[in-house]
Parts: sequence; C-alpha cells; structure tokens
Amino acid sequence: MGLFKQLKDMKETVAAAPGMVEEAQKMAANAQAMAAQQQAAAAQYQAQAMAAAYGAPGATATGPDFEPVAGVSLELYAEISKGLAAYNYDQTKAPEIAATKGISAMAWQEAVDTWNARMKTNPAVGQRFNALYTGRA
Amino acid sequence: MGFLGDINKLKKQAKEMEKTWDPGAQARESLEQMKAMNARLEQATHAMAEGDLARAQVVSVGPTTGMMNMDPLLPIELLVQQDGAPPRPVSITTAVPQAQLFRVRPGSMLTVRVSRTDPNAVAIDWMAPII
Repeated sequence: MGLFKQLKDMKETVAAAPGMVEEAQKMAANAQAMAAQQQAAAAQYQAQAMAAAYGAPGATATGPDFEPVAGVSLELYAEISKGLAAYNYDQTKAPEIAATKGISAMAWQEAVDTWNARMKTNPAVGQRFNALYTGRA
Repeated sequence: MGFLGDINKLKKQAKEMEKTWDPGAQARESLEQMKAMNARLEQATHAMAEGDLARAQVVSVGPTTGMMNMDPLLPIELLVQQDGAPPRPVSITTAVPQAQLFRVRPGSMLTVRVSRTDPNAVAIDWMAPII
C-alpha cells in the first residue's frame, strides 16, 4: 500500500514537473522584466536628481563660479589635482606639480582655497571638477 | 512505460539543468566577492577609527548590490573635499542605514572620515554634522 502510494505520488510529481519548470521560467522572465523596469526607473530618477542638482546634462558650466582663479582654470585645477594620485595624494607635492604647469605656489594656494570654497556653495562646480578629473567631461 | 518514461524524462531534465550548473565556480565567485567586501569593510572601519573628517559631495549612486544587517549596499561615487587640499573622487560600496537613504542623492553633501594612512579608505560618518 505504502509503496504503491509513493509510486503514484512520484508519478504525479513527475507529471507536474514540466509545468512547474515552465512556470519557473516564466517567473524568471517576469523577474528580469521587473528588474529592467526598476533599473530604468532608477536611472531616470538619478538623471532627474542630477539635472535638479547640476542642471541639464550637457549644459555648459558657466557663470562667475567657473571663472579661473589666479590663472588656474577648473580644467587645470583638475589636471594638477589628478597628478597627486601618483604621490599617494601627498599634498606637499601639489605646488611642485603646479609649478610644472607654470603656476606659482601662491597662486596654487589661492586656487585651492577659492575653488574649494566654490564647491562648498555650488555643487555644479564639484560635479564639473569630478567629470574633468575622471575624464568623463 | 509511462512511469519509466517519466523517470527517463526526469533524468534528462536533471542533466539539462546540470549543464550550466557549476557549484565550484559559483563558490569561488562568492568567495572572491566576500573577500572584496570584507576588504572594503576593513578599510571603512579603519577610516572610522582614526580618520579625519572631510566633506564629500555625492556624485552618483548605483543600484543596490546586496543587503547587510537589513540595510542596502550601495555603490556611491563621492567627491571628497578636505580643507587645504584639492578634491578627489572616491568610489565606495557601503551599507546605507534605511533612515539615511534620503541623504544619498546626487549633489547632496555628506561628512566622511578619511584615513590618515590610506587615502583610499573612506567611510561615511552618518552621525557627524555636515562640515
């Protein structure tokens, strides 16, 4: 009795297996579709948040906050700053790197202070600096 | 015939499933991910223990890569700004407390701790005020 019942149950389980596999595949496809939708929504949200914070993508970085400081443009500031990575971000090397670009130590210090102050009040300056630094400008 | 045929079908299905199933490779991949995650956690713990406070601007936030202590793990790109030094981009993956999620959006400012010995070790200090 027990054995026959087990065999019957097994047969029924096996018979149901293809349908279960098919449903599992459908579920996986649905999960993928939902994940894709959520990712698209997240990307859209991120783009909206970035546009709200920094302006529309591709917008030109203009205005007084983007004017060069003591002869150091934001592009040059990013370039010199990036050079510090080779020295494990040793700040004492910054004036040396700046000097190779024709920037005096005094001008460099003024540039650091002013650009950093601008980034505190205007996130768009930081965003532009990041894009220049990482080569995504 | 029906029963034996079903057994045969089941065997074929199992073989089909096993074709793309490599538990060894999955275990190795998981191990590497755990190692990388632990290294990041150690860096963050190190930074929190002895690091200097700095401001950091959130540049971008990626989708959740996992959960830790019921908090989502998020890849975050930061622009770390320390006084007297030029800013620099840092990418971290960190557990963001549920109550702090609203703060992690592009353009927002956070306070971080930067290790004095390892400039790549950066941790967000959720309790510190914005400096």
